[in-house]
Amino acid sequence: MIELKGFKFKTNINEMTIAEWQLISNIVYSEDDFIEKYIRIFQVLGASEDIIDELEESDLLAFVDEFSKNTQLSIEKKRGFELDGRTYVAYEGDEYVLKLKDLSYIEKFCKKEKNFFSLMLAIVFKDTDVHNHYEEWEINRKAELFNNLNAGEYLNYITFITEKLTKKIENLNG
Amino acid sequence: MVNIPKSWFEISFDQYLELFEIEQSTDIEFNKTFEQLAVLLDISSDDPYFDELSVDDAFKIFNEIRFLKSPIPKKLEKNFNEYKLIDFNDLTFGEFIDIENFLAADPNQNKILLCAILYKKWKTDEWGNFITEPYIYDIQERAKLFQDCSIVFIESLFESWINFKNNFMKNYEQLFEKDVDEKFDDEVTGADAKEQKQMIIEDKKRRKWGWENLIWNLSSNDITKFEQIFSQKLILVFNILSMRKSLGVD
Repeated sequence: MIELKGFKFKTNINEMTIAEWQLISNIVYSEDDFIEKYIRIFQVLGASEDIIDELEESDLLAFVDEFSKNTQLSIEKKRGFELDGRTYVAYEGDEYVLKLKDLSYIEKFCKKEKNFFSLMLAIVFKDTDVHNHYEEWEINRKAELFNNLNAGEYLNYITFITEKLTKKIENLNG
Repeated sequence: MVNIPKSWFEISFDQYLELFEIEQSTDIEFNKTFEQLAVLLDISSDDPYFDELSVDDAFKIFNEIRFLKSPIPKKLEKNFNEYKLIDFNDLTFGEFIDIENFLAADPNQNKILLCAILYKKWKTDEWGNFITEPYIYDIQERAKLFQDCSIVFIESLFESWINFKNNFMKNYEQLFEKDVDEKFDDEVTGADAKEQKQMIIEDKKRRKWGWENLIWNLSSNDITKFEQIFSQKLILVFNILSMRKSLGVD
């Protein structure tokens, strides 16, 4: 967190929701110019136009410096959690194992979607009271819900799956 | 422990059709491979087996089914159970027309109908001559026998047939008028444009009813003679047609 012109800007992934982190990632990987990217990030983080207009070059550099600091992500992958009275579980054994079926649905639903972080989590975490985990409406329902999860706690799933997917695709094409 | 096919030889015609359909239906790579794996293992994609299959284990399997990316090898079989592959030169005109119609309707699905026509029961007569059954059996029923055949078997026959047919048509190409270019020339206007459109329509009609029209002419417009013409050897019919053409008899 960094306070600039009286506004507290979140800079750490652990301070952000999945939805916020998704929006910021989309901006970071967009083709916008450097300054344009950060203005959009400030908007995502809730800064008003007045605040953004007041920011000086030194503020931007201070934010970038803070924002770019490596954040240690949680190593342990959460087995599950409760949300709104329902239980969501990612795995039951000793450690999380990515299943082919999950990966195929991750590819199917997340390929072109801008909210693929929450969609990915919606496929990984299954509602223990639901049997049709892979129905589109069920995945979308959970994705909506998971938008508010803490990004720092769950991003390790996303990096794990993305890395696995990349390696496997290289292996498949190699 | 699942039984994973190791080569195209272990893929049946029905499995091939399913794999082909999946290949055409989506460009989502993992989803496609996942669906294809279900076909190869002969289980539904909803089978509990897939609920537990890890990505790492799945990739070991994917490595074993890499042969799917390679061309289907060819190995033409002369025999299939009590059926023998006939010499294509012995085909009757009727068999040829049926093959043409089936493959034009659906070249993929109807490959087993090609098998049903070209593989026949046989015997030798008292003089030791090779005799095949007459073309009076139910070919849809016969085709079912080939559903479980390896796709190598089916594709080998198909390739062999296409080679034969191309050579055959080349030998008799003088019998066939060139198709009119279907592309309408926008620069042509007025009466010429009308004539061009008419030519395209006539050509489409001619191609749609090409074989029927040929049989109609051969039978001297007598429908009762159709069966007799169908049972003639293909080569004889085409030789007669060539003769008529070169003599200017129509």
